[in-house]
Amino acid sequence: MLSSAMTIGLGHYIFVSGALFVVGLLGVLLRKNIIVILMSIELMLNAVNLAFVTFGYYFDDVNGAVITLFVIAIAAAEAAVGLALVVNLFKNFRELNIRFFEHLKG
Amino acid sequence: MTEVIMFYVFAGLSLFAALGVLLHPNPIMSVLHLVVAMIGVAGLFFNLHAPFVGLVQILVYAGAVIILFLFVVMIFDVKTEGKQVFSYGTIANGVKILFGGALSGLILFSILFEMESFNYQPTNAMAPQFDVRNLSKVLYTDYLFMFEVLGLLLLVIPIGTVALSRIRGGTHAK
Amino acid sequence: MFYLLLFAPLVGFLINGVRFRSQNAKVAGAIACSAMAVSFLSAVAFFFQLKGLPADERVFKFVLFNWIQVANFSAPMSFTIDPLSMVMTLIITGVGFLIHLFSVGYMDHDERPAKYFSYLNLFVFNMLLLVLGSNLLVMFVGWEGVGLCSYLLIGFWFTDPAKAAAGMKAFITNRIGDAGFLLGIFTLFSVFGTISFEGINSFAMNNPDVLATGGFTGGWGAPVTLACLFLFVGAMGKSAQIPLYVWLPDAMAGPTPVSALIHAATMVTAGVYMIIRLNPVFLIAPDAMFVVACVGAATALMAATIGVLQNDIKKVLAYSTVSQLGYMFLGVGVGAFGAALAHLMTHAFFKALMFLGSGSVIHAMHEEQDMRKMGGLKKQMPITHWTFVMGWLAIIGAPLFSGFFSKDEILWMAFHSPRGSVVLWGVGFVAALFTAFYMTRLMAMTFWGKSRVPKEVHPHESPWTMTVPLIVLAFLSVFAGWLCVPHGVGTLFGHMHNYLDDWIHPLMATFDMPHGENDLQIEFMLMGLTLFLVFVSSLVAYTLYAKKPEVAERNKERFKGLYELVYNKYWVDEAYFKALINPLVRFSQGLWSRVDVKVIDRLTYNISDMVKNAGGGLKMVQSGNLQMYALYILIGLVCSLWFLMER
Repeated sequence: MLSSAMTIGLGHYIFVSGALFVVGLLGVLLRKNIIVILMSIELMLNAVNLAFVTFGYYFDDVNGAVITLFVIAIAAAEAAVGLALVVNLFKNFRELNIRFFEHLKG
Repeated sequence: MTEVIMFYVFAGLSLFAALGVLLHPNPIMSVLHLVVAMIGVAGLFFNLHAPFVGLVQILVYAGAVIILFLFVVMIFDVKTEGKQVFSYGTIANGVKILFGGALSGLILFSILFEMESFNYQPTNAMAPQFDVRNLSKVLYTDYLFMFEVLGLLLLVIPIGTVALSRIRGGTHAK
Repeated sequence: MFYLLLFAPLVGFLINGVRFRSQNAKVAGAIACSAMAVSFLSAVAFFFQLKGLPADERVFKFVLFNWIQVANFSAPMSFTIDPLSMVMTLIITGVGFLIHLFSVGYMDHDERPAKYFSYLNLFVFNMLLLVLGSNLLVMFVGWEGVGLCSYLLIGFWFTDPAKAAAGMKAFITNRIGDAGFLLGIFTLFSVFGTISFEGINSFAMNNPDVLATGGFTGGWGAPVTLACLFLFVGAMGKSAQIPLYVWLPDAMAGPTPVSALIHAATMVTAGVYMIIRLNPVFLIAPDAMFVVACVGAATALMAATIGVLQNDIKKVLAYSTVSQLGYMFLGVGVGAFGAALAHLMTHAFFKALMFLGSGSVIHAMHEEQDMRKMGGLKKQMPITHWTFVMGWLAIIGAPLFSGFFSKDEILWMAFHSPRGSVVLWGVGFVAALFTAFYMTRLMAMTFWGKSRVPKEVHPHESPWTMTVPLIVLAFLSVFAGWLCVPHGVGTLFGHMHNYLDDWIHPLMATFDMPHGENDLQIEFMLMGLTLFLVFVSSLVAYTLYAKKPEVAERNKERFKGLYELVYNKYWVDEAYFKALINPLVRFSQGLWSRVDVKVIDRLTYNISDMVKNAGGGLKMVQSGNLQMYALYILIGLVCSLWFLMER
């Protein structure tokens, strides 16, 4: 047990990745504020990135890192669009509670 | 040995900061915790011999995305949300936490039993170096088309964002 | 040209019914009349074409399209013009045209004349379908169509509940008959393997023994007998025979020209026409024919007795129609198809005449139909009176008027034919006496004697559109009989031909008629007896109702029981209500309140509630709550991961 704590292997990284993912997931599921939900999504994306790079490193494959670059770029774009939407919503409704937008139509 | 210490430092940092994002009632504090978590993950990338990815992580997330979040939070001045940070519904939240726990249990289970142990080490003694040279070789050959499409996406996104959030008649319109 | 004949009324119906719904009576009437005129003229043209051919080849066939074709069953939408359907077509379009013309005057003050004329045209179209159809199914289409038009026209003034109820009564009663007719078609198909008249008749003519004995058990159980009885049930409904005659007197609720066209001249004779059309089949089913004859004779007598005491002028004529239809069935029942057709034709003329005459009277009396408020109308309405007299003489069988020839031929055949008997003759004979009595009574109460017209009513002669048809029909009533002079009477005029018999002869199955030496003497003896007693009966009626009404009143008191019985039409309607309709209504109400409300409704409500509740439950899932959606995704993820790891 101690030896597995003293040498770092694949499982450690994946454990951190999974923990980050679950925390982000709980943020998405539980938080009220839309902005915080968007942040939690970023957190989840990061967890996935970590898993990509880890597997790439341990299985000798450069593709893991390349995919991570793509994900980072797309995540930035997604954050921009999501925040633009949030800005619009807040301007129209003065409200950031996710439950407030349950009955939007059209 | 430094790698081990670095791992625990960065892993602990990022997990702690992630919990801060989840639990802190003030969105600004959530954003700041998110920055810390990003830096922690970037440190883990460095630890995995992927310095370029770690740098991009810091530049893009800490430098651009987080600033964007911060601006939005500041513009709308939503410092606190009152006492109620989480969504209403005790039972629903219980179920959510239950399933979150189930997911983490599954991940842990798979690490323990599918991967045989925590301590899987690279088969190749010369672990791949994810430096700029190696990455760009792949990026500009195998992924060239995707790369171009990504460029196009990054062109479209700002335009779309401006179209979404602009105020009709300029910034001073009522 | 065939299309003109058949479809002109349909076009008239469409124009009046769809395009010009709010036109006044003159325009609508002009459209309808011209449609009828076109139809009649093309019928006449066909008649001359047909006449130019040799007797055995007198047939035109028209196939519009192949309607139903399943395995060995085929029902093309095809039509046949042969001597028999030609006669009917001429009657329908000719009398129909006159009645359309009459309607122009009669419906002058009505609110919806276009609707009336469109129905009338539609009726003629359906009647032509019925008559011209060359198989049973096309005939059935027409059969149902005329029933529908009859219903629509009886209930034409549907704002009066009694009239609407009369329409429904006619429709439902006819429905019973129609069920029989359908069963008859099925049975005929199963026996003959075809439903075309040509196929059925030629098979029946060529293989009488096979059908009557070989392969089938003879007598009552024979399929042919069964088929004929079923068909006769259909005829009972349509042609108002016992026990389904009750609708016809009520049908007088409709406008009077309708009564003349549908409920006297054409539609009600459809049953007779159908039996004449299928005469070879009926001839090999003697038991069925005997039933037909008995029912016909009984109807003739019963309706005639009821007619004696009715006070409504149209009711008298209605019962007279039922009675005369009974004569026709007596005729076909004893095998005198030619005589029945002759009577059908003459009856169409004189009964249409009398109905139109009564319409003229009613019109003049401002919708008054009670004969007790008439009397002495002879002076005010000379044309109506004189034409009515012609009809009266025709129906009571005064010598040389049309009814004389046809009715005496039927009576003689009832006596003489191997299918007839003295009893049948006797019943018909008594019915003839009653006929003379009630018709004379009608004349006496309406036109002769003292006037009982209320002071505020001023009867007047009708306009030319109404009198011209009367005159034409009167002419036909007098002289139409010369087309069908029976053999016996014909000997008096140098062996005159029976043109009608010769005309339809190719379509008639032969059957042996005994030839006794004294036939002629017996025929003349019976005829003389009939004539004498008819004369006496008329004289009695005349004295009672025109000269000495007080004697009639006294007799009413003396025979109170009998009077009540006959006046209330033998309580037949009431009996039907007690025996059939009330139990049925009670049963239906029970079904409604017990079965429908408590079982079926509850079941369906429960099912719909279940669906509604399920929907309500699922609605909660589709809440719009983003985080719940995310939870569903998570649940799915956990479950599928679980599943993958379990393997």
